Amino acid sequence: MTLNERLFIIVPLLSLLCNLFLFLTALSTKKDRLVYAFIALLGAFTMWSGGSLFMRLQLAPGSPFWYMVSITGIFLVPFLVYNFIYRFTATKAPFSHIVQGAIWLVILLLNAGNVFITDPHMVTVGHETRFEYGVSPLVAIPILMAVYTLLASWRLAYKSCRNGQTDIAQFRPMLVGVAVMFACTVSAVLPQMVSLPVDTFSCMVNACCLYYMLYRRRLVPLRSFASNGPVFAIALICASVLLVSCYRAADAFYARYFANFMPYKTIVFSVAVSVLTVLLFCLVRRLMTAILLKGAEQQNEELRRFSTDVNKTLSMNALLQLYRDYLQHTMPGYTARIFVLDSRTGCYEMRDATEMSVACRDSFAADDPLMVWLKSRGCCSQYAEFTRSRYFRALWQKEKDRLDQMRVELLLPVMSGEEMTALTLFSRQDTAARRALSQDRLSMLDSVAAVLAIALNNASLYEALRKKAQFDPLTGLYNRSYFQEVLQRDFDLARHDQLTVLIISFDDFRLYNELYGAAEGDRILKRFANALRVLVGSRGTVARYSGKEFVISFPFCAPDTATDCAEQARQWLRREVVGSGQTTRRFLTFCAGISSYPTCARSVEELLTYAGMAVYSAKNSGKNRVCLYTPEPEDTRIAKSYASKRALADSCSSTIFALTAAIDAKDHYTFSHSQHVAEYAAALARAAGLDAEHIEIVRQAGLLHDIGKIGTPETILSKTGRLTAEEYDVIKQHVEDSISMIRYLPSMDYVIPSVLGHHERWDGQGYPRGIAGEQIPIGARCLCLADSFDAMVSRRSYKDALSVDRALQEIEDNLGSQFDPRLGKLFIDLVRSGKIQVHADAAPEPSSEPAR
Amino acid sequence: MTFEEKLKQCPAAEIWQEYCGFLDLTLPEYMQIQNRLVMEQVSLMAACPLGQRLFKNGVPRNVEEFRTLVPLTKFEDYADVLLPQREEMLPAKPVVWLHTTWEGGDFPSKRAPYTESMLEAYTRNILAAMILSTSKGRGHFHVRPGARVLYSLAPMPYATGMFPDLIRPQIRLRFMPSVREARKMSFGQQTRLGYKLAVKHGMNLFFGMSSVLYGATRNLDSLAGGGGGGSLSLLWGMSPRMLVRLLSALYRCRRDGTHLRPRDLFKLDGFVCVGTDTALYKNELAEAWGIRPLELAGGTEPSCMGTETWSKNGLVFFPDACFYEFIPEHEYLRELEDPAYTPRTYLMDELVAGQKYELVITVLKGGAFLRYRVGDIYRCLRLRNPEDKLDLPQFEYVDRIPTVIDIAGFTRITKREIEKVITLSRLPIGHWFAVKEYDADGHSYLDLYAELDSDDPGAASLSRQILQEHLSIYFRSYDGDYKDLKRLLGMDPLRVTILKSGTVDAYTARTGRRVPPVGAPREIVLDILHMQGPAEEGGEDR
Repeated sequence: MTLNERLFIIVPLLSLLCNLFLFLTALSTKKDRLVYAFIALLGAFTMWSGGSLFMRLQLAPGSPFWYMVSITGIFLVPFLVYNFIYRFTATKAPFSHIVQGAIWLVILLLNAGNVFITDPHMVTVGHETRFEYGVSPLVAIPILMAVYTLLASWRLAYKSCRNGQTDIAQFRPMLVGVAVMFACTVSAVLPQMVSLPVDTFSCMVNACCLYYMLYRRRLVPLRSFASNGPVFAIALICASVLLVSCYRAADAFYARYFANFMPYKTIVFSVAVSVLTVLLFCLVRRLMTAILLKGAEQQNEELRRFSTDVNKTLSMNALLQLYRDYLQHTMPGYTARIFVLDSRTGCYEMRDATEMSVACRDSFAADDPLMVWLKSRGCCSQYAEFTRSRYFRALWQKEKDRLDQMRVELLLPVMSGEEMTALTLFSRQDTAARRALSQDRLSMLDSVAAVLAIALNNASLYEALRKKAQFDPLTGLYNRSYFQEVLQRDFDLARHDQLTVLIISFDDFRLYNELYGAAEGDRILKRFANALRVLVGSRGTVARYSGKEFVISFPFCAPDTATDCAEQARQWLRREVVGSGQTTRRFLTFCAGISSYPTCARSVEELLTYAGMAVYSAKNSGKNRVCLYTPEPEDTRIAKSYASKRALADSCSSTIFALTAAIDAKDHYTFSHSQHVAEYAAALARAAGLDAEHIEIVRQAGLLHDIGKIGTPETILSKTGRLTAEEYDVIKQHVEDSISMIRYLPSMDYVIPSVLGHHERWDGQGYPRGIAGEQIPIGARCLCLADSFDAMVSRRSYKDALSVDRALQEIEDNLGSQFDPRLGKLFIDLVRSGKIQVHADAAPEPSSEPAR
Repeated sequence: MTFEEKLKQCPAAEIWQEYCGFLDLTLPEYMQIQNRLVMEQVSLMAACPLGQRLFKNGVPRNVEEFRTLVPLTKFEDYADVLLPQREEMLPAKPVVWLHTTWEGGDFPSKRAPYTESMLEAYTRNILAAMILSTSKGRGHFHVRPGARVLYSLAPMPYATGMFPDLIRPQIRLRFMPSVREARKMSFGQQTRLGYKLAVKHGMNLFFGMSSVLYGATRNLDSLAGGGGGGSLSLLWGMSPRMLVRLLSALYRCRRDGTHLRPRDLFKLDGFVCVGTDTALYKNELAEAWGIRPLELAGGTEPSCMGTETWSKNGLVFFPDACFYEFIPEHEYLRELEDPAYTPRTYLMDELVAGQKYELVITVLKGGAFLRYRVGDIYRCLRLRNPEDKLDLPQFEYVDRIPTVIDIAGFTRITKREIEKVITLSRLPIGHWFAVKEYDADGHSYLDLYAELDSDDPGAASLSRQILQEHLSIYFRSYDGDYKDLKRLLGMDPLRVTILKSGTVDAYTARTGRRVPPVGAPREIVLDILHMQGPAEEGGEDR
């Protein structure tokens, strides 16, 4: 076989395989009219090459058949090229399209009847065998028609480019194909080239060029090469080639070593070829996947991992950090700047960057033309596109300069519905290669943005809820609970420095509300809150402490700062209220209390308590003033307080006496019980080491502890028999009743804790609250002992008096269960030593009825 | 990327979007751009001594404050800074200074600084106009590199002289004559040579002043050949294509007995004309050239600020050249009668279709002029154009403000100039007033109504003709632009009407209205003529 003959087999074979391969690849892609047009064209090329090859090989059913296949393919090509360009340029000229199709159909039919070219006959010249054709003069018709059709295709492409519908660059591969075809056609005229298969060669080149054209338009992705059809075609071709090339050797090998199994040769060979094909199929698929799909799979894996990670967090900072890490990993050579919409300022604030050297101090206003444009686009876009948009005209020069300086190339919006919640600007680093990002990469960025949008949305909702929980809805200041967190943080920060707390409380604010209405009250609270925020600025944190109270933490500030602030706030309030332009002159003042760490407080709790006490002190000193808490010497303070409480009790003594007398009158068995309890409890408190003020509180509590019994029916009080459960419940109610009554006594609320707890038990089985141990105020524990003791040694309607020893024994037996063990022992000692003088009724026989 | 590179590499839709995308703006979007850019200008101005002088009432924080706090200005407000070119006083460093005539000013010319950003916008807008001049519909245009351009505009340092300098770095065009040659020639020589070259080699684009173009159109034969030997020299070196066109055109003209028209010779892709009288010549030019000219709006101070679209039927102002305010006709007329009155301005989204407005501009991107009264009157043709799918107001140029008489876009005559000419002429003219009128062909001229001094013994011997010729001589000697009118267009735009002595005084006494020396309303002129009664026998031609 001469070289030319070999070429006539090899080139059409290659062309056939190439076309077949592309044909199968195109079949595996998503199809539209354009892809169908391409498949049809590939089909024509395949017919051309395949027919030529098989004619040359004289395969069955014979040369005339394959000749007809080949020539039909050739005649189909001009129209199918036209059809391909027609679809590619999306031209609307159906009439011309149909007419041309019809003409070519007629030509094909005529050709089938050998009107233009007669069947080829084989001619042997020297060692070479050729096919020669008989040509009729009518062949000019299809040639002219082909020229016309190809020119019409050219016109479509030109018009499309001129109208800007298609970029000229998209036609470049086709131009290369046309150039090759033209060169091949011209060269075929040369005597040296006559014997070469240039037509099938150009057919192969054209198919590849057109495939590339579609690939550039992203209609047929490269990864479709890795789909089953093309891979199987490759495996089959390789197996066939192997079989053909190794058949003789394999046959000899089989005959030599497996002569006994000759009847099974065909089966063995068939199985071997099938196994080989399957193995090759697996190998080729793995190879294709590794080459073409590895990148895509890796991208998908990264995206999946990112998606999983961001869904695990609700923290904005953590999200941004994940995003930054992802971009650092997947966008090498680019610096990404991440901007997030700040709902307070309405600006996109720069929050992070993939380069450490980039400062996060930039921001874009929401109405910036770039932002508006990007929002309208809603997908990953090139900066160059923005420069061509009409929005670019609205940019300030310095904004243009800034973007130029950043060298922004790519912009990625993060869309949440119609809103753009964040964006990323990508700028190419100096060292990066200047290569455009692939469409796949841009699509991947859009996917990342979609994932991030959901995560950011969740994070911002969470953030909003968290903030809502931190703020007072009326004034917009922090609320009390969050302030305590802030104060603790400030305290930790200023542990080695100083920290001042200022509490401001409006005077008679309820009266102000009643006089001018709640709306006015709310208004002044809001205005005052804003004024405080401005006055304090960055020096501290303002919060609403309670209805009419505000609290401010001044870390690293001396009390003077708080005093100045309070005075400025006072002046503001005066201007606001007095100068409000109302016809009636209004009046509103406040008291302010200041405490400071470390001069007078040692903990956060003390800071708040002492500031509160300073407010209280200011209120007691005539209101409308600022009071700095100063720790007084303990004895002075106690003496002062004791004196004030004593004076108070004295002033109320007639009322207290009248009330206790009323109880005594109701239950003559309890006559002087309150006096006795007051006496015993005060003695016990004194012995327990309480200060004079506290002793006075206990004494007064003793006097008032049963005051609630006024409301208890006499029938229950003087019942001789055992109380029913309902009656016992009524009796128990007297504690709450006592508290309700004490509230009405002017400024004697300090006795409430002792009165409230005098029926509590050390083991927590008492009433009304069921508290236990040290949780019970010490005054209440004293009262409990004194009350029980006096009840035991007194005669009651339901029992006789116990002896003192018996009563003390009873107390001793109940230490740790009913009574405080330490105070109980102390009380027993006091009685036994005679330091407490007992007022006991005569005791006929002991009884162990507990006190009611 | 230059414009030429874009033409080669980018789809037409992208190029259209970049340069002509502003035509897709809605009015609110347009106003947003305007408001944004004027605030940029305010911030630039606030940082420079000139701006601080103009912001003496405080730096505006928004557009409303800008319009309230900053007074309307004229060139006098900038003269001390711009005439000596004091760059340190300006908001941004100028890269070029352009000149123009200062009609009625203390100095012959005005100067305007151009910053780099301004030139950038100027270039983009000129290219947009070039695209639009070749377009037949939205998105369809035909600009090709290497196109032959006949360029017939005033040279540097006038604003139109910038065109070639701005376009050349962007696209390769063959100017006829070349820019270097043109700069060595007078305006007339440049036009003549340009025509000769156009006839020899053909022409694709035309940039020119409409009045010059009109003159050239009417005298195409003389311009192209000059007759006799000129014709032979023209034929020598003529491109075969143009030779065929010329011969076939001449044959057709002889056969039909018509004159040679430009449309017989040239097939233009684009036709751009500027000048104040463009509207008057447009139809004739379209008829003669076979393509409707695209009109541009602009000037030395505002740069290229407006263009017509593909339908060539109304100007659209570029959103990034200037910030536009408009004084309605009744407001500027009121100011004319009461100079102390400050007229109100309106913005682009507050206009009324059909109304005439005086334009007030703030030059953006570091320009020197704030709320500057250019002195041009525009009519708002429509607020939107549904046919062209345009959501922006369109305008037509009407004239200069009444106190300036503009003749053919060449010369601007003011009260000051007429006074000077009368003084120089030593003619015994008492009261006078001047108005702009149009002849039967629609050409503008200056009509000077004059009372001769009755006390002067020589007055009786002066006829209208003598007065006209006498004054015309002085106008030509005093005003170079006026002289060019005669030289280039062959027209003498002065006509004199002699009034009876005491007519103006009598009118004022009777009506209590002052007669403005320039731009008197038509009704005043008619009242005065009626008062005077029918012209005496030979009264006009004494």
